[in-house]
Amino acid sequence: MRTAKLPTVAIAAMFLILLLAGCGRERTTTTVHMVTDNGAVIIARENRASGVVAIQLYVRDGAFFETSDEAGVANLLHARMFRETESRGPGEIQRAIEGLGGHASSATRHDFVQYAVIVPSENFDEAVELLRDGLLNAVFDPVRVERDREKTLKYIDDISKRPVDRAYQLCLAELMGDHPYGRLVEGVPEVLSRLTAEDIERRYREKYVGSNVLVAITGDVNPVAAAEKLADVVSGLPTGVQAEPVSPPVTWPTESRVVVERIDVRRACQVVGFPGPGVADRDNVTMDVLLVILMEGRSSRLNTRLKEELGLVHSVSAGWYTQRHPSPLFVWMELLEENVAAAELATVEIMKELSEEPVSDDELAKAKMQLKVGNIRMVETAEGQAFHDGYWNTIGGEEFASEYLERLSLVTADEIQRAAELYLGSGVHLAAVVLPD
Amino acid sequence: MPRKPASIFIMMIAAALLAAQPASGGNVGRHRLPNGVTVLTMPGEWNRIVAISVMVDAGSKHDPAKLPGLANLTNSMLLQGTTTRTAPELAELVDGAGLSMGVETTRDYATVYVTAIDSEFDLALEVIADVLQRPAFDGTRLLEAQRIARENIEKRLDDPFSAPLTRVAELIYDDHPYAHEPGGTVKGIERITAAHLVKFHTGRYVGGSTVISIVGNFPEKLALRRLTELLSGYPDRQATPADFPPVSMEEAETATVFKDVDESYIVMGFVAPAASDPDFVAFEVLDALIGLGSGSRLVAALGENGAGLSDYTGALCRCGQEVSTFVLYASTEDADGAIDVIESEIERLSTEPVPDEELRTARNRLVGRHVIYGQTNLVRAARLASYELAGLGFDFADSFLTAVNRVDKDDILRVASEWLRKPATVVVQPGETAPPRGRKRAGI
Repeated sequence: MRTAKLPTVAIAAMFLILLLAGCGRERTTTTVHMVTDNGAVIIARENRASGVVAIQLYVRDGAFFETSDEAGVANLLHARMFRETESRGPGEIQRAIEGLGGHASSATRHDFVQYAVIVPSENFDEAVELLRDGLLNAVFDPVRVERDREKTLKYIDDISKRPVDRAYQLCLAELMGDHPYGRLVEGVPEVLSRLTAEDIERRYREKYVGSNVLVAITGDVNPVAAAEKLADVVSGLPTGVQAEPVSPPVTWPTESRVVVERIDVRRACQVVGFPGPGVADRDNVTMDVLLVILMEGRSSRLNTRLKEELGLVHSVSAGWYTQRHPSPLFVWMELLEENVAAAELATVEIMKELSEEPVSDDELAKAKMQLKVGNIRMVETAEGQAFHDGYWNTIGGEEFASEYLERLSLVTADEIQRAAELYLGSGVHLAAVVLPD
Repeated sequence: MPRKPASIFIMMIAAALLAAQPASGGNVGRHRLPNGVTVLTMPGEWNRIVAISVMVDAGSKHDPAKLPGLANLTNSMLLQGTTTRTAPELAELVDGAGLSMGVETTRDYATVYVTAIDSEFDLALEVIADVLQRPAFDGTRLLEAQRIARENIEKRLDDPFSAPLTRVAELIYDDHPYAHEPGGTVKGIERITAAHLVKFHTGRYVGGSTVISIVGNFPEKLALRRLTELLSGYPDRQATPADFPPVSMEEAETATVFKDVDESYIVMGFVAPAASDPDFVAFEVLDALIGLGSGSRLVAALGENGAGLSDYTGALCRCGQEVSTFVLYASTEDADGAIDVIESEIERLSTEPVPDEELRTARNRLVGRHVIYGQTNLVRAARLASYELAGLGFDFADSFLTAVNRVDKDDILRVASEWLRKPATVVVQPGETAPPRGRKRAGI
């Protein structure tokens, strides 16, 4: 470990570490971890495999940090960030980044808001200056806020007509109750309708502060110099107050329920949700293994049973997102209306089997291999590596991420059975079904 | 939120046929197996992934006239079991080793690919050689594959962007096999039997028509030795050359399709230069100028800072070995107004020299897209194989990137005048009236 002195910003802490990426025949890449005086975190990683550099900014905002009266403000703010500044007109920053051969995108998640840029590495400096302007000098034109509001309301309406999205949303809302994970990150129409440009700007001043910001950089750059450049940018933010969650703890339902809705769709869709862990729970990696056993590949349990053996579904998949608070495990399926009840029953049976019998050595080894390879694949691109660093550090899972492969190797069949019993064994679930009208 | 018009496979084709950023440290080797298979190797230790792409001159342009969809169905059945492994055994093996395997059929090629971590490279080679040479073409699996193929066709025809893309190809290509999508037609799919698959596979999956590219962390000499062993039974011959009718748009054409949509969708298609055509590079820069990214002319003219007629517009080029298809698209509530704007932008490209700064940023967008998209070993492998099979040479990327930066404003004027003349325009309108097909419209 060594401390570097930076000429333009005072750095509270800076670590230069060698990170062993992957496993087996590891490759070393230089990674810089830095905390600026105003509390912003910078993680810069060298990756010379391609001539590009990815820069991703993470802000502690999103539904998790919204009260029900604010539902949607973080997303509406995100829609205006990096769009217009005091010196650059609407869309000018994005056009300029594309003119550098790059690409810009952004997303609101429940746990954070992300802004991502990737450019050919020779244009890194120019991209950083564009990000500086967008982050520090944002303006919020009421006319454009109104336009974004209309687009958001239309989007909420549109996805309510898509069967998979609608079933997923119904399931989430019923399972999570008042918790913000039960809401769309886009917000609630009634709240969106009354938000003003002043509300958006107030949110910007409150949340876009040093203590809420993390920047992840990966690519064909000197990581120390890159970290210094980004530190100089985020040091222009006030220190502010770190955002704290305003959400209640997650309380899972104690009884199973079925919610049915008929809309104008061709095919039925069912989403079955079960309780799951959060990022701080020790069952994280175990849950990943369990999920792979359930859904990864054609030989997975769900695919083999529901599709191949019973012929109940056209397609089936499952997911569980590691988030700050405990999050549900979902199974979603497209199927004929007459198979809905049988598919729900078979899904619950599969979950119970996992809690009653240990998985075989072969199944366990296969799942671990798939997760290991998935972990390596994820960081093949610069944006994948930056996302990996930014995501885990933002939601408080940096330790989890750094120890992932080691912990994965230690997962046993007994642990999987115990985790399955804890979350799935009771059979309590929520089934949301969308049927053709 | 309208869905993007370009399906993933279209993006893959375009990206695969265009320039690649050579991987750092990656020197490409070109080898020939005894049975005529060309093998391209790019070994390197920049990460632990190895990608193997097998590309065969067996795209949908080789579909028999009455069996559109045969090439795609044949290719998709490669993963449905072999004579040595049932489909579940194959799935178990692939999943257990963490392999990622897939197939893709374009109008020109059939591709089967696998990616693996380096420790599983030998198994990856063994599995891909097995599926390439010994597909079982099991009858029950074929029925399931036909059901999926029919569903995909229905989805495509239901989609407000994919449906007009399909119709544009019909208008442009007429009797040429590019007129149908690789997925085929429902009637064609229903006619296909296992015997058709066997015949197509036997005829086209042969050494002289196959290119294998391997990119990533692997031992090159061992790979070549293993491939020679594993493919020893692969036929040593060339597939029968096909003779395709010439493509020529005699007149501009329009068609209207009515669908249950909230707004109109416009797709305007043109015949464009193939990757081997001298005009190709300049045309790609023109593509970036008019339709790539938020700085493109279509976004400026139709978007909220222009006429305010469309918040979803752009261009895409489906690169082909015979010719390419260039498409301009927009969703809008005012189809006539948007078409007028698009036509005036085409006119402007043909008559007014492009300002230097606009040309520079268009070139940057084009080059940047290739560099960013080319980060994975799988894309690198797919690009190498497609260049080779198209006869462009595996080093096509380098010459392309150099040529992009030489394109000047006169080149843009020339290719715009030459190629953007007779569009096939399809408009999807809200409503349920039967579409008047093939209505003529004056050329631009």
